Amino acid sequence: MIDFVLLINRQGKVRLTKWYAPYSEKERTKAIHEVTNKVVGRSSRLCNVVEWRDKRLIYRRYASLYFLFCVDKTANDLLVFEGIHFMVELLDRYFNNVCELDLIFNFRKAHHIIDEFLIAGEFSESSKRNILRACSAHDQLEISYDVHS
Amino acid sequence: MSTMRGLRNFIVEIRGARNADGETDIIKKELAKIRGVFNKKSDSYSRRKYVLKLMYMYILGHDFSFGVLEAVELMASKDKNEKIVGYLFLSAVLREDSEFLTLVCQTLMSDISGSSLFAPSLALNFVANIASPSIAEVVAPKIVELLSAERGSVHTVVRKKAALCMLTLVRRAPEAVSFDTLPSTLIDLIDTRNVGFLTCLMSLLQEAVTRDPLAYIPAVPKIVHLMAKISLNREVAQDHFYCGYPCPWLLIKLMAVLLVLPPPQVGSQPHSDILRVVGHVSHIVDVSATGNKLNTQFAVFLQAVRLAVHVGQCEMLLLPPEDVMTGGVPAEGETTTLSSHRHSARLSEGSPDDRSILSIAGKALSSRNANLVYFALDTLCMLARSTPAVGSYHGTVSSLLLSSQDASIVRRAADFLFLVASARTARALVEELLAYLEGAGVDAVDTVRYVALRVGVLLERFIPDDTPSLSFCVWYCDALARLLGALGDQVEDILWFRACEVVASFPHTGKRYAAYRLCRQVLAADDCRSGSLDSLDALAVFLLGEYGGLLFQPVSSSDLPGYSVSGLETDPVSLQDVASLLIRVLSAPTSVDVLSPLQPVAVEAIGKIIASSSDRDSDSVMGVLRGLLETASRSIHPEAAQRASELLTILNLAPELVSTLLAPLPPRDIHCGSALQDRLEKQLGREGVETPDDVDTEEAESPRQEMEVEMPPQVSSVRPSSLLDLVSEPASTPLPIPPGVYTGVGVLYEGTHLQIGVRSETGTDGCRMEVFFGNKSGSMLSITAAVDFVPGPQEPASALEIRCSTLPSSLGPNQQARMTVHALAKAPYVSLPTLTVLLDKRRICMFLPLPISRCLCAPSAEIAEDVDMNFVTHWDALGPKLERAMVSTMETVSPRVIGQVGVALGLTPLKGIARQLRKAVFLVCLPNAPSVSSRGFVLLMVGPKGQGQIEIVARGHKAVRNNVLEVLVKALE
Repeated sequence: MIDFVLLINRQGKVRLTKWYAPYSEKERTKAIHEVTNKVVGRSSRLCNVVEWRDKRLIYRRYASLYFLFCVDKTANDLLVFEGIHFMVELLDRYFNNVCELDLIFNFRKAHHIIDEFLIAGEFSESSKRNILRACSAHDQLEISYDVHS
Repeated sequence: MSTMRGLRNFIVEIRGARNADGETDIIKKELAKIRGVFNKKSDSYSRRKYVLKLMYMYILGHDFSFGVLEAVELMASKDKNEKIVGYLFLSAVLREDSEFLTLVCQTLMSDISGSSLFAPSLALNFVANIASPSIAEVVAPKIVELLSAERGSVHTVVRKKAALCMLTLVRRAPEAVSFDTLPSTLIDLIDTRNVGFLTCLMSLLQEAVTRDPLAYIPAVPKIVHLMAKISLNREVAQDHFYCGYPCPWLLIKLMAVLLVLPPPQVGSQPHSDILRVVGHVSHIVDVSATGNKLNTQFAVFLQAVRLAVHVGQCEMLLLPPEDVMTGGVPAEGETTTLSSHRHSARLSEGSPDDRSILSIAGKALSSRNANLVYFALDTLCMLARSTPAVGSYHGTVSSLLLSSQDASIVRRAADFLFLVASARTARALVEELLAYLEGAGVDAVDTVRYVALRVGVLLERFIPDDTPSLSFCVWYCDALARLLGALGDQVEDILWFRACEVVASFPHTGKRYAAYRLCRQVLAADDCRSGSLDSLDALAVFLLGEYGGLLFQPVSSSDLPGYSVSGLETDPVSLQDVASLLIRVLSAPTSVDVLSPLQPVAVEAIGKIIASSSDRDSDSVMGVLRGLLETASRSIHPEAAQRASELLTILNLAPELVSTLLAPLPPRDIHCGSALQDRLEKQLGREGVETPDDVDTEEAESPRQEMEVEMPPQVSSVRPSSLLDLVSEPASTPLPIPPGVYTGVGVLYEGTHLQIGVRSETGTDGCRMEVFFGNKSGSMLSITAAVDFVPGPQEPASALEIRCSTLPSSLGPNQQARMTVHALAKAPYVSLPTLTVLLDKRRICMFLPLPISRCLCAPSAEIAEDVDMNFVTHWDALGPKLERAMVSTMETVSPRVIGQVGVALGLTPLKGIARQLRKAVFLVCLPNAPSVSSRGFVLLMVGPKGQGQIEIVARGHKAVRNNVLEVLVKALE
C-alpha cells in the first residue's frame, strides 16, 4: 500500500501531496520535512529506495522534480518504482510534455489524473487510455460549463 | 482546458515573491480578502475560484481555519463544477478524525447512489481515501450492494472504485463490514474480465484474505488460472501492456494474493500452473535489457520467487527456468527423475547452477543498476531462511557491503550476512561486518547502529550451551573490543550492558582476558581520542572492577594454555596502565549540569579491585588505588565523592569488610532472554526483513499501533498489578460476573474471609464505581487490589481510562474498606477490566462489571431531549440493521419496571416516546460522539410481547448494539 505521494522540487518546495494513510496535520508536516531531507540531494548513482521509519521511500527524479511514493512492506517496490514512471508518462501525455509549471498552474488537473489511477493507496488502472479518457470527460464538463456561463 | 484567470494571477503573484516572508504577506492579504468574500453572498464562479486558491495555499503548506464549510456547500451542490471543486478541496484537506466529515455523510451517500458515472466516482474516490468510522457505517451497505449487484447493472468504473472503498473499510473500519458474506461475493467477482477492476479486486482480496484465509481457498484455482492466462498466454488487451509486459500490476497483485492464501496441494493443477508461471517469468528476464523494461521483468520475477517459496518449492530455484516450465520439478516422493538427482547434487554442493533461477538474482547483484542490486539483496534476504544455497553469494554481498556508499544497500547487505550466518561461518561474517563498521563514515549513524546491533546478536548467537571455550571467549572479546572501538560514542548502551552479562558467564580465564582486552583497547585508542568518554570506557571500567583483580594475581598452571593465544603474557597490562585509565575516567570533564555517569562506576571498580586483590598488603597496588580513591573523593560528582570517602573510611577502620561489601557479580544464565535479541526482534517486527511469512500479515495495523504509543500512559495507580504478577501462584482466569450485578449494585465475590461488593453510577463523565471489601473473618487481613484493563486484539490499549484510589493495606476484623474506580471510555471496547485481589498471598481475579460495557457516557440532557422529540427520524437514520432478542419471564413485566432496570444499568430512558409506544425506550451514547447526527449512539426499544415475553430491539453501532443487548438480557433474566 502507498501511504502517500509527494511531488517536490529540487529546492524542497512541495508541488503536490496525496495522503492515503492517516497522518495528522502535524505528522504530515513532519513527514514532508523528514522525507525531503532524505531524498533531495541524494546522489543519482545511489539506488532509488530509502528506508524511512518502518516504510520505504521510492522516488524518481525528472528534471527539477522529485516524484516520491512512500510504501509499506506489502508493496512490490520495484513495480512501485515503475508506477512512478507510469504516472509521469500519463502526465506527459495529458499536458503534452509536462513540466513543473504545468503542475503548479494546473494542480487540480494533476490531482484528477492521480485520482484516476491511485485509489486507497493502490494502483487501480493499468490502461493509460482509460485514465486519459476519464480525465478528458472531466475537462469536457468544465468547458461546457464555462461556455454556458 | 479552462483556466481561472484570478487563480492564475494569484499563483503568478506568489511565484513572484522574493522570499518566504513575501509569500506569507501575499497569502495573508489574500486570506483576508477571501474571508470577506465568503462572508457575503457570492456567485458560483468566485466561490470555486477562492476555494481553489485556498487549496493552493494548503499545498504550499500554509495554515488557515476556514473555507471548509464553503467547500462542503460546493460538494453538496447540484452543479457538477462546484461538486468537482468541493471534492477536490475536501479530499486534500480533511482527515479521518475531522469533525467536518459528519457534514458530508449525507452528500456522500446520495452521490454514491447517483445514476450517472460522475457523482459516484467522486464520492467513492473520497470514501476510499478518507473513511472515518462514522462514514464507514453509513456507506458500507451501499458499497456491498454495488459490489454484489448483477453484472452489467453497475458501471465497471463504479464497481472498481467500490472495491477499493471496501478495501479501505476492511482496513480502517472493519466493524462496519459484515465478513460473513464477503468471501463468496468476492470470489464470484474474480470471473469479471475487466483488468482495471481485477487489479482493484486483488488489492481488496490481499487485505480481506489475511482476516480469514480459509474462507478464500476456493479462490485459488481461479486466481492461478487468471495468472497463467495473462503470463503464459498473454491474453490481455494491448492497452494494458507496460514496456511490452502484459499488465504487470495485475500479475503482481495476483501473486500477492496467492502469497497470503494457503498454498495449493503439491501435484494439483493450480500447483503445477504456479510452477509453470514461475518458470516462464524467470525465463523471460533479460538481464541485458535496460531501464523500465528490465525493472518490470525483474519486479514480476522477484514476486514469482516469493511465490515459489510460498508453495514450498525452494529447491526449484536451483533449476534452470526451462526445466521448471516443462514440469521437470520433482514431485514429492518421486526421487528417481533426472532433475531431482541434479538438484540434490547441487544442494550438496551448495552453489546454484549458472543457468538456475536463483542465479538470475545473483547476476543482478553485480549489476550497475543500483535499484536492481537493492531488490536482489532484498529477495536474497527473504530466501536466506528457506534456501541455504543463497549462502554462496556471500562473497559478492560482502564486497557490496564494503564498497557501497548507499545506506539502503548497506543495510540489506548486512541483513543478508546476518541471516546466512551459521556457527561455522559466523566468525568470518562478523569480521566482514566489523570491517565495514571500522571504515564507516561518521555521517551514517543510523546505518552504523543498525549494523552494530546485528553484530552484537551474531556475537552471542552461537554461544555454546555449556561453558564457552577459551577460544570462543577470546574471539568474543576481540570482536567486542573492535566493535565498541569502531562505534565510538554512537553505540547504544544496550550493547555493552549485554556484554557484561555474557562475560559473567565465561570461565575464569575468559573473564580475565575480557578485562585485559577491553583495557588494552581503551589504552590503544586513547591517543587518538578527545577527552569524552564512551561505552568502550564504560565496559572497560566495569570489567576491570569485576575481574581486574585477576590481572594482578599470579598465574596458576591451569590457566597457562590460554596465555599464548591471548597475548596476556607477552603484552601485559600494568598497574600503571589501569591507574591511568581510571584517572582518565575520574578526571573526565564533568560539570554540575552534566555529571559523568561513569564516575561512580569507576569508584566501585576501584573498590572491587581492592576487594579481590589477594596481595592486599602489597604497598604498590594498594598505594596506587588509595591514591585514586582520594582523587575521587574530591570529585564534584556527589555520588562518586561520597562513595570514595566511604570506601576510604572503611579501608582505614575495617579493611576485611571490603570483600564482603563488594562481592563480584554472580554469573547469570545468558541463554534466557537477551536484550539485544529483543531489540532486534522489535526492529524486525517493524521492518520485517526476516521471515517471508510475516511479510503480509497485520500490515494495516502498524501505523495504528505506533499512534497508540503516543497516547498518554495509563494512570499510575493502576500499576500495582505488576507487583501482583510477582506472586508465585499462576494467574487465574477471572471469575464470571454473578447474575444481577449488572444492575449497578451487588455482591461480586463471596468467600469465607472476604466479601467484595460493588455499586456503580454512570454520568456524563464516565462510570464511577465503588468497590467494597468486607473482612468477614475474626482476624486482620492484608489486602492488595489493582484494576487492570487488558485490551483484546482489536482494541486500542487506551480504549478505557481507569483511575482508582488506593486501599489501606490491612483490614481489621469485621471492617470494611472502599476503593473508588473511575472508568472513562475513550473508544468502544469489548473486554472488561479485571480486578485482581491479593489476599494473604492468595490471588483472586474477577471482571469488574461496568454497567454497560463499551458505553460509559450518559448523553447530555439536550441530546436526550432531541432524540426523544424526534424519535422516529433518529430511529430511521440509524439504518436498517437491527438486533432483536426475546427474554422469557415468569410473569408479565410492565414497561415501568423495565424502565427501572434500564436506569439501574446506566441507560438513559426516553420518557416521552416511551409513553407513546407503551414500551421502555433507551438511548446509549458512544464515547466521543460529537453530536446526535454522527450516529454515535444506539437506541433500544424494550416492551412486553405476549405472555411472559419481553422483546428488545436495538439499532445503532453494531458492536455496541450487540453488547448492550447482551447485558440487558442478562439483567432482565
